[in-house]
Order: sequence, then structure tokens, then C-alpha cells
Amino acid sequence: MSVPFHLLDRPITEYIGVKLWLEEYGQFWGIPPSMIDQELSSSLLILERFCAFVGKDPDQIAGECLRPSKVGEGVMLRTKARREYIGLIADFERKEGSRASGSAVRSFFIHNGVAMTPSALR
Amino acid sequence: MEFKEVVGWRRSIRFFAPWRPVEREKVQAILEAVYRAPKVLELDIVRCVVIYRDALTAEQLESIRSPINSAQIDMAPVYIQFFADLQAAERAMDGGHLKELIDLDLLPASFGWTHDYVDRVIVPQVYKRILTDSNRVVVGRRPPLLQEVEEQAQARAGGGRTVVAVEAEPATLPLSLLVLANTAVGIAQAHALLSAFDEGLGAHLCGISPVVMKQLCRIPDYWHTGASTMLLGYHAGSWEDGGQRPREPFEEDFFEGRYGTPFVQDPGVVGRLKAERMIQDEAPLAWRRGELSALADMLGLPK
Repeated sequence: MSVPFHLLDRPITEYIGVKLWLEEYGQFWGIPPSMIDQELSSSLLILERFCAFVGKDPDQIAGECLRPSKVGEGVMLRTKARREYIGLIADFERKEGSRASGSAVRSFFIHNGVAMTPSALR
Repeated sequence: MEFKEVVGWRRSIRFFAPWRPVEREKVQAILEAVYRAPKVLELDIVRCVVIYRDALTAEQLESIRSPINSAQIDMAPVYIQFFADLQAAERAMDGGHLKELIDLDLLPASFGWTHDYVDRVIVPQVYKRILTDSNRVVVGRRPPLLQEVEEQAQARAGGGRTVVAVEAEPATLPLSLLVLANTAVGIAQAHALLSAFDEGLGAHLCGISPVVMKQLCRIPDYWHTGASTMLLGYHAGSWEDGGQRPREPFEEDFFEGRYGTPFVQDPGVVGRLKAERMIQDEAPLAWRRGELSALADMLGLPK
């Protein structure tokens, strides 16, 4: 599925949330910055399809799950929004028929500070 | 396994082999350890309900999930839920259990234990004070007693007996009783955790909604549900599980004689405990990332 142009007005790697994802993922898994785009190329395409699925861009998605803290610095997790996205990711995974699709999107959330785990495969 | 090695191998295991059931006899061995754990004030407080993941309906399994425990709930084939029986102190008010221990020569007269001491000191000055502690803490909401429902209905209906819905009131507990209950459960959980590893299993204390666990286990109202759930299963990864967790310096936690005088670690003792495997390689282990990656792939988890 192609992403409607009005959703993503620039390459997906230019969104703040995606930059953060790539940076954090690369640091954690020991992937050099020069190779991270290539490493996650299929995951980036999956995230684009998820954006189309929910009709929002990556920063809108991450922003809905986190809000600035009322006291001091940092952000607060919006648990209701997270629950909604957990359900949407499960729907997306079913639609794509691929566990890898769900995992890629969850990885984007996790490395943006929105902790979540799916059911484990048995 | 030797005791020191059991202590050394214990970790909070988060990756269980979901396909491998835990033998019932191993669960019983863990419960036998809990059964023999020290009792706080000799009160019979601790209760456990063993839950088998595969015996739950899909709805029940879904009810205990949270956004961050979902995978662990799926991986662990057994959950042990700890409860505190809050009527334990009331039941002990006749002092019968203490007198039995005196008669069995387990509470010796040399330390002051007599039937009279139990009746005149322990029961009124210890047990009763716990139960009547005016410092109370809210621990949730309790449903109204049937009697209260009927009384309120009578008042509203001018003497009628129609049962009406009454809003749940905050449930409070004497702080002393809650401290006692939490201490007893903590001791029991420590026994259970070490026993699990001794049985060749992995375990992890996980936060699951107490309200949900109360409903799932169908426990009496007077059982307190504040404790973590112990997830139990075989390791999906290595027993090292990334290595022993880093701790703050030993001397910051332990003191000798008085606060401010650190209990200094003796390197000779450390060496002996390393040889006996209580002290093991500390995280990070060079190969851990590779293991985490492989486990995530195997179990379909995000990276």
C-alpha cells in the first residue's frame, strides 16, 4: 500500500520519532549510523504502511502516546493511547499476515519510549 | 544444587520456554518450601494459588495482560499468586498455636514462654494491638456487607427489606497488620524463588492487577492481594541471563557496629564464594546482545 502524500510530507527518516528510533536502535544493537537505514530498510517500509493504516505520520503517532510532563522535564506516558495503539498494531499485524510487521512497528514505539510487548509466539 | 549456588543462579528470569510445562511435583516442592518458611509472629498468614496458563480461557488470559507483561504471561506456564490471610491474627487470639509450640518444647521457658505469658502479654499486648491499630491505610474498596445493604435498605424504605445497590466503601486495614502481612509474604516469596531455581526452573516476580487476580482465583474477601505474582517456567535462554546484576558497593549497604562504619568485604571470602558459585560473572556479558536478539526472533518479540 502506498502512503497518501498528505500524511508524509517528507521522507519518513526525516521525522523526529523515526530519527530517534534509528539512533536508539543502532546504539542498542551496535549498528553503525552509516548502516542503520539499510539495516532497518524493510522496517521503515512497514512503518510507512502502518502510518497509512492509521492515517497519521510517525510524529503524530508517538506524540499521542507521550505528553510533556506537568512538573519538570521529560514526558508522561498516555496509557489509554498506548492501549489503543497496541490494538491497532495487532490489527495491522493480522492485516499484513506477518509477525515481523507488528514487531517492526512495536520497535518504533519502544525506541520512542513507549514500552509494550506483544503476546509471545508459542 | 548447593545453597550458595542456588543464590548465585537466581535471576529475575524474563524469557521462559513457553512450550515446556512445569512438572506438578516441582510446583509442590516450591510450595513445600513456602510452607516451611518462617512465620511472622507465628501467624499462619501466607496463602498461594497455583494457576496453570494452559488451563485459563482466552478471556482469563487476556484479563491478566498488561502492555508490558504480555509476553511473559504467554511464556510462563505457571503462575503462583501469593495472598495474605488477614484473619490470621484474629484466629490466633486464643493463643492456642503458641501454647502448642510451648508444649512441644519449641518456645522455651528460658526465654519467658509460658501459657500465662501468652494469655496475659502476647495476645492482649501484641496481637490485639495489631488488630486495633488506629493508624489505618486504604487498600482498595470493599463491597458492602449484606447486613449493611439490608440496614440501608431498611432506612430508605422505612423498614422494608428491599436489597439495593450500595456504593463500595474504601477498604482500610490497620497499618500494623498490613506490615505483618507484607513481611510474611515477602519471606515466603524469597523461599519460593530460591526453591524454584533449586528445582531447575526460572522465576520472576511480576506485577499483575490484584483486582484481576482476586477475581481469577476466587479468593475470600479477607485475603489481601497486594503481592506480586511469581511467574514460573524453564529458562528459554541461558542460566546466566546476562550475568549477575550490578549492585551498589557492598560497603554502602552494610555496616559494622554502627551506621557509618562500613562492613568491609574480605577478598578471601569473596574468592571462596566465587569458587562456590554464589558470586558469578556480573553483567554485561559479551554475548548477551546476541542472545537477546536470538530470543526475540524465536519468540516473535520486537527488538
